[in-house]
Amino acid sequence: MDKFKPQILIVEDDELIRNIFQQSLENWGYPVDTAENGQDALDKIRRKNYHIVITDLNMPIMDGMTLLNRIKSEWPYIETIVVTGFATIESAIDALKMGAFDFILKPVNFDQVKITVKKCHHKIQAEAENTHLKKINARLKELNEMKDKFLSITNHEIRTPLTIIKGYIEILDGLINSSEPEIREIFQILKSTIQELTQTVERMHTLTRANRGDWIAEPHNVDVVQVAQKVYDEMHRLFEHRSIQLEISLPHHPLYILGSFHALQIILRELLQNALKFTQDGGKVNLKIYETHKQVAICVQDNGIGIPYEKQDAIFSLFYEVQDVVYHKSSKNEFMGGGMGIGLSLVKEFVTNMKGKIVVDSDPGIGSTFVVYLPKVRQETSHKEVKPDEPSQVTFSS
Amino acid sequence: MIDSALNVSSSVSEDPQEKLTQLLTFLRSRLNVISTSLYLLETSLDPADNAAKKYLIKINQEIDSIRKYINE
Repeated sequence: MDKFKPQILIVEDDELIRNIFQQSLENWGYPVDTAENGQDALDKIRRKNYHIVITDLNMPIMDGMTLLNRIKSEWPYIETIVVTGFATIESAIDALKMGAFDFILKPVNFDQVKITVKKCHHKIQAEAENTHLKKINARLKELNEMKDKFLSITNHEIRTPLTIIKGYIEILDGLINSSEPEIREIFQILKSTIQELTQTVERMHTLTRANRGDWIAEPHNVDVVQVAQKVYDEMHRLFEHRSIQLEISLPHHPLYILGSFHALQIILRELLQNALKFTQDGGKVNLKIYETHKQVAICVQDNGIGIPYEKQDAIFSLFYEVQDVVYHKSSKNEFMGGGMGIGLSLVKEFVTNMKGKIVVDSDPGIGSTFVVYLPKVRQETSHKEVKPDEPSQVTFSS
Repeated sequence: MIDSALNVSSSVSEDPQEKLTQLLTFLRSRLNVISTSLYLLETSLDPADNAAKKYLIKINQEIDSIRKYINE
Protein backbone atom coordinates (compact mmCIF):
# COMPACT_ATOMS: atom_id res chain seq x y z
CA MET A 1 0.00 0.00 0.00
CA ASP A 2 1.28 3.47 -0.76
CA LYS A 3 2.00 6.32 1.60
CA PHE A 4 -1.55 7.65 1.49
CA LYS A 5 -3.23 7.18 4.87
CA PRO A 6 -6.87 8.13 5.23
CA GLN A 7 -7.73 10.67 7.92
CA ILE A 8 -10.00 8.96 10.46
CA LEU A 9 -12.51 10.41 12.93
CA ILE A 10 -13.54 8.22 15.87
CA VAL A 11 -16.95 9.09 17.34
CA GLU A 12 -17.47 7.35 20.66
CA ASP A 13 -18.96 8.60 23.94
CA ASP A 14 -17.06 6.10 26.10
CA GLU A 15 -13.69 7.72 26.72
CA LEU A 16 -11.89 4.45 27.37
CA ILE A 17 -13.06 2.82 24.16
CA ARG A 18 -12.41 6.06 22.29
CA ASN A 19 -8.82 6.15 23.51
CA ILE A 20 -8.18 2.51 22.69
CA PHE A 21 -9.51 3.08 19.16
CA GLN A 22 -7.31 6.12 18.78
CA GLN A 23 -4.16 4.44 20.05
CA SER A 24 -4.68 1.32 17.98
CA LEU A 25 -5.32 3.21 14.74
CA GLU A 26 -2.39 5.53 15.35
CA ASN A 27 -0.18 2.50 15.96
CA TRP A 28 -1.21 1.23 12.52
CA GLY A 29 -0.14 4.55 11.06
CA TYR A 30 -3.47 6.30 10.58
CA PRO A 31 -3.96 9.96 11.51
CA VAL A 32 -6.86 10.04 13.98
CA ASP A 33 -9.11 12.64 15.60
CA THR A 34 -11.86 11.92 18.09
CA ALA A 35 -15.34 13.23 18.90
CA GLU A 36 -17.57 12.50 21.88
CA ASN A 37 -20.89 12.43 20.04
CA GLY A 38 -22.59 13.02 16.70
CA GLN A 39 -22.84 16.78 17.11
CA ASP A 40 -19.18 17.09 18.09
CA ALA A 41 -18.30 14.94 15.03
CA LEU A 42 -20.31 17.16 12.65
CA ASP A 43 -18.50 20.24 13.98
CA LYS A 44 -15.16 18.56 13.28
CA ILE A 45 -16.15 17.32 9.82
CA ARG A 46 -17.13 20.87 8.87
CA ARG A 47 -13.65 22.10 9.78
CA LYS A 48 -11.52 19.27 8.42
CA ASN A 49 -11.55 16.72 5.65
CA TYR A 50 -11.99 13.13 6.83
CA HIS A 51 -11.89 10.01 4.72
CA ILE A 52 -13.33 7.58 7.29
CA VAL A 53 -15.68 8.12 10.24
CA ILE A 54 -15.92 5.26 12.72
CA THR A 55 -18.95 5.91 14.88
CA ASP A 56 -20.72 4.30 17.79
CA LEU A 57 -24.48 4.08 17.27
CA ASN A 58 -25.71 4.65 20.80
CA MET A 59 -24.56 8.08 21.99
CA PRO A 60 -26.07 11.07 23.83
CA ILE A 61 -26.89 14.42 22.13
CA MET A 62 -26.74 12.95 18.60
CA ASP A 63 -26.72 9.21 17.99
CA GLY A 64 -24.73 7.35 15.35
CA MET A 65 -27.64 6.76 12.92
CA THR A 66 -28.48 10.48 12.85
CA LEU A 67 -24.81 11.29 12.32
CA LEU A 68 -24.59 8.69 9.54
CA ASN A 69 -27.64 10.19 7.88
CA ARG A 70 -26.17 13.70 8.00
CA ILE A 71 -22.81 12.56 6.68
CA LYS A 72 -24.34 10.68 3.76
CA SER A 73 -26.48 13.64 2.78
CA GLU A 74 -23.79 16.32 3.12
CA TRP A 75 -20.49 14.48 2.56
CA PRO A 76 -21.37 11.34 0.59
CA TYR A 77 -17.70 10.67 -0.21
CA ILE A 78 -16.85 10.04 3.48
CA GLU A 79 -16.79 6.34 4.31
CA THR A 80 -18.45 5.35 7.57
CA ILE A 81 -18.00 2.31 9.78
CA VAL A 82 -20.51 1.84 12.57
CA VAL A 83 -19.79 0.25 15.94
CA THR A 84 -22.80 -1.25 17.63
CA GLY A 85 -23.04 -2.49 21.15
CA PHE A 86 -26.51 -3.88 20.72
CA ALA A 87 -25.23 -7.06 19.27
CA THR A 88 -28.13 -6.96 16.91
CA ILE A 89 -27.65 -7.40 13.28
CA GLU A 90 -30.74 -5.20 12.56
CA SER A 91 -29.13 -1.89 13.50
CA ALA A 92 -26.00 -2.79 11.58
CA ILE A 93 -28.09 -3.65 8.49
CA ASP A 94 -29.97 -0.36 8.83
CA ALA A 95 -26.60 1.44 8.87
CA LEU A 96 -25.43 -0.47 5.79
CA LYS A 97 -28.69 0.43 4.03
CA MET A 98 -27.94 4.07 4.77
CA GLY A 99 -24.57 3.75 3.06
CA ALA A 100 -22.19 2.68 5.83
CA PHE A 101 -19.13 0.82 4.51
CA ASP A 102 -19.22 -1.89 7.24
CA PHE A 103 -20.00 -2.49 10.89
CA ILE A 104 -18.05 -3.64 13.95
CA LEU A 105 -19.76 -5.40 16.81
CA LYS A 106 -19.04 -4.76 20.48
CA PRO A 107 -17.16 -6.05 22.33
CA VAL A 108 -14.65 -4.76 19.85
CA ASN A 109 -12.15 -7.18 18.37
CA PHE A 110 -9.26 -4.96 17.22
CA ASP A 111 -8.01 -7.49 14.72
CA GLN A 112 -11.40 -7.13 13.10
CA VAL A 113 -11.12 -3.32 13.30
CA LYS A 114 -7.75 -3.45 11.56
CA ILE A 115 -9.11 -5.61 8.73
CA THR A 116 -12.23 -3.45 8.29
CA VAL A 117 -10.28 -0.18 8.25
CA LYS A 118 -7.79 -1.65 5.81
CA LYS A 119 -10.59 -2.75 3.50
CA CYS A 120 -12.08 0.71 3.69
CA HIS A 121 -8.65 2.23 3.00
CA HIS A 122 -8.32 0.05 -0.11
CA LYS A 123 -11.74 1.10 -1.32
CA ILE A 124 -10.90 4.80 -0.95
CA GLN A 125 -7.64 4.28 -2.75
CA ALA A 126 -9.26 2.32 -5.56
CA GLU A 127 -11.86 5.05 -6.00
CA ALA A 128 -9.16 7.72 -6.06
CA GLU A 129 -7.25 5.76 -8.69
CA ASN A 130 -10.41 5.29 -10.67
CA THR A 131 -11.10 9.03 -10.58
CA HIS A 132 -7.50 9.68 -11.62
CA LEU A 133 -7.83 7.27 -14.57
CA LYS A 134 -11.08 8.92 -15.59
CA LYS A 135 -9.32 12.28 -15.57
CA ILE A 136 -6.48 10.86 -17.69
CA ASN A 137 -9.00 9.41 -20.13
CA ALA A 138 -10.80 12.73 -20.35
CA ARG A 139 -7.47 14.45 -20.94
CA LEU A 140 -6.53 11.99 -23.68
CA LYS A 141 -9.90 12.52 -25.29
CA GLU A 142 -9.36 16.27 -25.13
CA LEU A 143 -5.90 15.86 -26.68
CA ASN A 144 -7.28 13.77 -29.52
CA GLU A 145 -10.00 16.30 -30.19
CA MET A 146 -7.42 19.06 -30.19
CA LYS A 147 -5.22 17.15 -32.62
CA ASP A 148 -8.20 16.76 -34.93
CA LYS A 149 -8.82 20.47 -34.63
CA PHE A 150 -5.20 21.29 -35.45
CA LEU A 151 -5.43 18.99 -38.43
CA SER A 152 -8.62 20.53 -39.73
CA ILE A 153 -7.25 24.05 -39.24
CA THR A 154 -4.04 23.27 -41.02
CA ASN A 155 -5.72 21.24 -43.71
CA HIS A 156 -7.99 22.37 -46.46
CA GLU A 157 -9.46 25.41 -44.68
CA ILE A 158 -6.18 27.31 -44.64
CA ARG A 159 -3.79 25.59 -47.00
CA THR A 160 -5.97 26.06 -50.06
CA PRO A 161 -6.75 29.78 -49.53
CA LEU A 162 -3.05 30.41 -48.86
CA THR A 163 -2.11 28.77 -52.15
CA ILE A 164 -4.72 30.89 -53.93
CA ILE A 165 -3.52 34.09 -52.25
CA LYS A 166 0.06 33.28 -53.21
CA GLY A 167 -1.00 32.86 -56.83
CA TYR A 168 -2.99 36.11 -56.86
CA ILE A 169 -0.08 38.03 -55.38
CA GLU A 170 2.19 36.74 -58.14
CA ILE A 171 -0.35 37.83 -60.77
CA LEU A 172 -0.77 41.21 -59.07
CA ASP A 173 2.98 41.73 -58.98
CA GLY A 174 3.15 41.03 -62.71
CA LEU A 175 0.19 43.31 -63.46
CA ILE A 176 1.47 46.26 -61.48
CA ASN A 177 5.03 45.62 -62.63
CA SER A 178 6.36 48.52 -60.62
CA SER A 179 9.98 49.14 -59.73
CA GLU A 180 9.15 51.75 -57.10
CA PRO A 181 10.99 50.81 -53.92
CA GLU A 182 7.88 51.23 -51.76
CA ILE A 183 5.83 48.88 -53.95
CA ARG A 184 8.69 46.37 -54.13
CA GLU A 185 8.94 46.40 -50.35
CA ILE A 186 5.20 45.77 -49.97
CA PHE A 187 5.40 42.80 -52.36
CA GLN A 188 8.43 41.51 -50.51
CA ILE A 189 6.52 41.64 -47.20
CA LEU A 190 3.46 40.01 -48.75
CA LYS A 191 5.47 37.17 -50.27
CA SER A 192 7.59 36.47 -47.22
CA THR A 193 4.54 36.55 -44.91
CA ILE A 194 2.62 34.17 -47.14
CA GLN A 195 5.64 31.89 -47.26
CA GLU A 196 5.99 31.98 -43.48
CA LEU A 197 2.29 31.20 -43.03
CA THR A 198 2.42 28.39 -45.56
CA GLN A 199 5.49 26.81 -43.97
CA THR A 200 4.04 27.03 -40.47
CA VAL A 201 0.73 25.55 -41.53
CA GLU A 202 2.50 22.77 -43.43
CA ARG A 203 4.71 21.92 -40.44
CA MET A 204 1.79 22.01 -38.02
CA HIS A 205 -0.10 19.76 -40.37
CA THR A 206 2.82 17.35 -40.55
CA LEU A 207 3.27 17.42 -36.78
CA THR A 208 -0.39 16.71 -36.15
CA ARG A 209 -0.31 13.83 -38.59
CA ALA A 210 2.85 12.55 -36.92
CA ASN A 211 1.10 12.81 -33.55
CA ARG A 212 -1.65 10.64 -34.88
CA GLY A 213 0.89 8.16 -36.22
CA ASP A 214 -0.31 8.71 -39.79
CA TRP A 215 3.16 8.90 -41.30
CA ILE A 216 4.59 5.73 -39.91
CA ALA A 217 1.44 3.67 -40.35
CA GLU A 218 3.16 1.43 -42.88
CA PRO A 219 6.89 1.58 -42.16
CA HIS A 220 9.37 0.25 -44.67
CA ASN A 221 13.13 0.00 -44.96
CA VAL A 222 14.76 3.37 -45.55
CA ASP A 223 18.44 3.95 -46.24
CA VAL A 224 19.59 6.70 -43.88
CA VAL A 225 22.76 7.29 -45.92
CA GLN A 226 20.76 7.97 -49.07
CA VAL A 227 18.40 10.37 -47.27
CA ALA A 228 21.31 12.19 -45.61
CA GLN A 229 23.02 12.66 -48.97
CA LYS A 230 19.80 13.99 -50.49
CA VAL A 231 19.22 16.46 -47.66
CA TYR A 232 22.87 17.57 -47.82
CA ASP A 233 22.51 18.22 -51.57
CA GLU A 234 19.37 20.26 -50.94
CA MET A 235 20.69 22.33 -48.09
CA HIS A 236 24.44 22.84 -48.40
CA ARG A 237 24.03 26.06 -50.38
CA LEU A 238 22.14 27.63 -47.48
CA PHE A 239 25.22 27.01 -45.34
CA GLU A 240 27.57 28.28 -48.05
CA HIS A 241 25.50 31.44 -48.31
CA ARG A 242 26.37 32.18 -44.69
CA SER A 243 29.95 30.92 -44.93
CA ILE A 244 29.20 28.08 -42.56
CA GLN A 245 31.25 24.97 -43.25
CA LEU A 246 28.88 22.01 -43.53
CA GLU A 247 30.82 18.78 -43.29
CA ILE A 248 29.15 15.44 -43.97
CA SER A 249 30.48 12.05 -43.03
CA LEU A 250 28.71 8.99 -44.42
CA PRO A 251 29.50 5.28 -44.41
CA HIS A 252 30.09 3.62 -47.79
CA HIS A 253 27.26 1.17 -47.37
CA PRO A 254 23.53 1.74 -46.87
CA LEU A 255 22.21 1.78 -43.33
CA TYR A 256 18.59 0.77 -43.14
CA ILE A 257 16.01 1.70 -40.57
CA LEU A 258 12.32 0.87 -40.44
CA GLY A 259 10.28 4.01 -40.96
CA SER A 260 9.32 6.57 -43.52
CA PHE A 261 11.60 8.19 -46.10
CA HIS A 262 9.67 11.44 -45.79
CA ALA A 263 9.80 11.44 -41.98
CA LEU A 264 13.55 10.80 -42.02
CA GLN A 265 14.01 13.59 -44.50
CA ILE A 266 12.13 15.94 -42.17
CA ILE A 267 14.27 14.85 -39.20
CA LEU A 268 17.49 15.62 -41.08
CA ARG A 269 16.21 18.88 -42.54
CA GLU A 270 14.96 20.17 -39.20
CA LEU A 271 18.17 19.29 -37.37
CA LEU A 272 20.29 20.96 -40.03
CA GLN A 273 17.94 23.95 -40.17
CA ASN A 274 18.23 24.26 -36.42
CA ALA A 275 22.04 24.15 -36.61
CA LEU A 276 21.99 26.74 -39.38
CA LYS A 277 19.76 29.00 -37.35
CA PHE A 278 21.87 28.93 -34.20
CA THR A 279 25.36 29.01 -35.73
CA GLN A 280 26.99 32.33 -36.46
CA ASP A 281 28.20 33.13 -39.98
CA GLY A 282 31.59 31.49 -40.54
CA GLY A 283 30.82 28.68 -38.10
CA LYS A 284 30.94 24.93 -38.58
CA VAL A 285 28.30 22.21 -38.71
CA ASN A 286 28.91 18.46 -38.99
CA LEU A 287 26.43 15.87 -40.14
CA LYS A 288 27.61 12.37 -39.41
CA ILE A 289 25.83 9.08 -40.00
CA TYR A 290 27.28 6.02 -38.33
CA GLU A 291 26.17 2.69 -36.92
CA THR A 292 26.40 1.11 -33.53
CA HIS A 293 25.74 -2.53 -32.75
CA LYS A 294 21.95 -2.20 -33.01
CA GLN A 295 21.33 1.35 -34.10
CA VAL A 296 21.89 3.90 -36.79
CA ALA A 297 23.01 7.26 -35.41
CA ILE A 298 22.39 10.61 -37.04
CA CYS A 299 24.60 13.22 -35.43
CA VAL A 300 24.33 16.94 -36.12
CA GLN A 301 26.95 18.99 -34.35
CA ASP A 302 27.46 22.74 -34.51
CA ASN A 303 29.71 25.28 -32.87
CA GLY A 304 26.87 27.76 -32.51
CA ILE A 305 25.45 29.59 -29.52
CA GLY A 306 24.34 26.46 -27.65
CA ILE A 307 21.29 26.06 -25.43
CA PRO A 308 21.13 27.26 -21.82
CA TYR A 309 21.23 24.25 -19.52
CA GLU A 310 17.92 25.09 -17.85
CA LYS A 311 16.17 25.16 -21.23
CA GLN A 312 17.46 21.93 -22.70
CA ASP A 313 14.52 19.89 -21.42
CA ALA A 314 12.00 22.22 -23.02
CA ILE A 315 13.35 22.50 -26.55
CA PHE A 316 11.24 19.65 -27.88
CA SER A 317 8.01 21.26 -26.68
CA LEU A 318 5.71 22.60 -29.33
CA PHE A 319 6.01 26.37 -29.90
CA TYR A 320 9.07 26.59 -27.66
CA GLU A 321 11.66 29.05 -28.91
CA VAL A 322 14.84 29.48 -26.89
CA GLN A 323 15.46 32.99 -28.12
CA ASP A 324 13.01 35.81 -27.76
CA VAL A 325 10.96 36.69 -30.80
CA VAL A 326 12.41 40.25 -30.83
CA TYR A 327 15.73 38.78 -31.97
CA HIS A 328 14.16 36.92 -34.85
CA LYS A 329 15.32 37.77 -38.32
CA SER A 330 12.81 37.62 -41.12
CA SER A 331 14.39 34.57 -42.75
CA LYS A 332 14.68 31.32 -40.87
CA ASN A 333 17.96 30.67 -42.70
CA GLU A 334 19.62 33.64 -41.04
CA PHE A 335 21.39 33.55 -37.71
CA MET A 336 18.69 33.53 -34.99
CA GLY A 337 16.17 33.38 -37.80
CA GLY A 338 12.45 33.29 -37.14
CA GLY A 339 10.43 30.27 -36.28
CA MET A 340 7.53 29.12 -34.23
CA GLY A 341 9.15 26.32 -32.29
CA ILE A 342 7.67 23.50 -34.33
CA GLY A 343 10.77 21.90 -35.88
CA LEU A 344 12.21 20.01 -32.92
CA SER A 345 8.73 18.87 -31.81
CA LEU A 346 8.37 17.37 -35.24
CA VAL A 347 11.76 15.65 -34.97
CA LYS A 348 10.92 14.23 -31.54
CA GLU A 349 7.54 12.98 -32.74
CA PHE A 350 8.98 11.20 -35.77
CA VAL A 351 11.89 9.74 -33.82
CA THR A 352 9.49 8.39 -31.21
CA ASN A 353 7.21 6.99 -33.91
CA MET A 354 10.19 5.16 -35.40
CA LYS A 355 11.01 3.71 -31.97
CA GLY A 356 14.17 5.74 -31.68
CA LYS A 357 15.47 8.31 -29.28
CA ILE A 358 17.06 11.71 -29.51
CA VAL A 359 19.67 13.12 -27.17
CA VAL A 360 21.05 16.61 -27.01
CA ASP A 361 24.33 17.75 -25.56
CA SER A 362 24.81 21.48 -25.53
CA ASP A 363 27.04 24.03 -23.90
CA PRO A 364 26.09 27.69 -24.11
CA GLY A 365 28.60 29.57 -26.21
CA ILE A 366 30.31 26.38 -27.40
CA GLY A 367 27.73 24.54 -29.46
CA SER A 368 25.16 21.79 -29.61
CA THR A 369 25.12 18.16 -30.63
CA PHE A 370 21.90 16.38 -31.47
CA VAL A 371 22.06 12.61 -31.93
CA VAL A 372 19.13 10.58 -33.18
CA TYR A 373 19.35 6.83 -32.62
CA LEU A 374 17.08 4.64 -34.73
CA PRO A 375 16.87 0.84 -34.59
CA LYS A 376 18.95 -0.66 -37.38
CA VAL A 377 17.50 -3.14 -39.87
CA ARG A 378 20.06 -5.74 -40.83
CA GLN A 379 20.31 -6.13 -44.60
CA GLU A 380 23.58 -7.89 -45.06
CA THR A 381 23.03 -8.64 -48.71
CA SER A 382 22.52 -5.05 -49.68
CA HIS A 383 25.77 -3.84 -48.11
CA LYS A 384 28.41 -2.71 -50.45
CA GLU A 385 31.56 -4.61 -49.78
CA VAL A 386 34.21 -2.29 -48.39
CA LYS A 387 37.71 -3.05 -49.57
CA PRO A 388 40.37 -3.29 -46.86
CA ASP A 389 42.19 -0.18 -47.99
CA GLU A 390 38.99 1.80 -48.47
CA PRO A 391 37.80 3.99 -45.56
CA SER A 392 34.50 2.86 -44.10
CA GLN A 393 33.29 6.47 -43.95
CA VAL A 394 33.52 9.14 -46.56
CA THR A 395 33.70 12.76 -45.50
CA PHE A 396 33.26 15.85 -47.56
CA SER A 397 32.17 19.38 -46.96
CA SER A 398 30.52 22.30 -48.66
CA MET B 1 23.45 40.15 -26.99
CA ILE B 2 23.35 36.41 -27.46
CA ASP B 3 23.38 35.80 -23.74
CA SER B 4 20.65 38.28 -23.12
CA ALA B 5 18.65 36.76 -25.93
CA LEU B 6 19.06 33.30 -24.52
CA ASN B 7 18.14 34.38 -21.05
CA VAL B 8 14.76 35.67 -22.12
CA SER B 9 12.30 33.18 -20.80
CA SER B 10 9.79 31.64 -23.08
CA SER B 11 6.72 30.02 -21.69
CA VAL B 12 6.24 26.34 -22.29
CA SER B 13 2.83 24.90 -22.04
CA GLU B 14 1.64 21.38 -22.66
CA ASP B 15 -1.95 22.52 -22.58
CA PRO B 16 -3.40 21.70 -26.02
CA GLN B 17 -5.92 24.50 -25.74
CA GLU B 18 -3.12 26.99 -25.11
CA LYS B 19 -1.14 25.61 -28.03
CA LEU B 20 -4.15 25.99 -30.29
CA THR B 21 -4.51 29.58 -29.07
CA GLN B 22 -0.82 30.21 -29.83
CA LEU B 23 -1.25 28.88 -33.36
CA LEU B 24 -4.36 30.98 -33.92
CA THR B 25 -2.63 34.09 -32.55
CA PHE B 26 0.26 33.50 -34.94
CA LEU B 27 -2.10 33.07 -37.89
CA ARG B 28 -4.10 36.19 -36.98
CA SER B 29 -0.98 38.33 -36.62
CA ARG B 30 0.33 37.28 -40.04
CA LEU B 31 -3.06 37.83 -41.65
CA ASN B 32 -3.04 41.33 -40.20
CA VAL B 33 0.37 41.93 -41.77
CA ILE B 34 -1.00 40.82 -45.15
CA SER B 35 -4.12 42.96 -44.79
CA THR B 36 -2.09 46.03 -43.89
CA SER B 37 0.29 45.44 -46.80
CA LEU B 38 -2.63 45.07 -49.19
CA TYR B 39 -4.13 48.32 -47.90
CA LEU B 40 -0.81 50.12 -48.47
CA LEU B 41 -0.60 48.60 -51.93
CA GLU B 42 -4.13 49.71 -52.76
CA THR B 43 -3.43 53.29 -51.69
CA SER B 44 -0.32 53.33 -53.89
CA LEU B 45 -2.14 52.06 -56.97
CA ASP B 46 -3.48 53.97 -59.88
CA PRO B 47 -7.23 54.36 -59.08
CA ALA B 48 -8.04 53.46 -62.67
CA ASP B 49 -6.21 50.14 -62.50
CA ASN B 50 -9.28 47.92 -62.36
CA ALA B 51 -7.45 44.70 -63.12
CA ALA B 52 -5.22 45.11 -60.07
CA LYS B 53 -8.22 46.09 -57.97
CA LYS B 54 -9.99 42.90 -59.01
CA TYR B 55 -7.13 40.80 -57.67
CA LEU B 56 -6.90 42.82 -54.47
CA ILE B 57 -10.60 42.08 -53.87
CA LYS B 58 -10.03 38.39 -54.54
CA ILE B 59 -7.08 38.26 -52.13
CA ASN B 60 -9.07 40.05 -49.44
CA GLN B 61 -11.91 37.58 -49.92
CA GLU B 62 -9.55 34.66 -49.36
CA ILE B 63 -8.08 36.33 -46.27
CA ASP B 64 -11.58 36.91 -44.94
CA SER B 65 -12.40 33.24 -45.45
CA ILE B 66 -9.33 32.19 -43.43
CA ARG B 67 -10.05 34.77 -40.75
CA LYS B 68 -13.67 33.66 -40.51
CA TYR B 69 -12.58 30.05 -40.16
CA ILE B 70 -10.05 30.67 -37.40
CA ASN B 71 -12.43 32.94 -35.52
CA GLU B 72 -15.13 30.28 -35.39
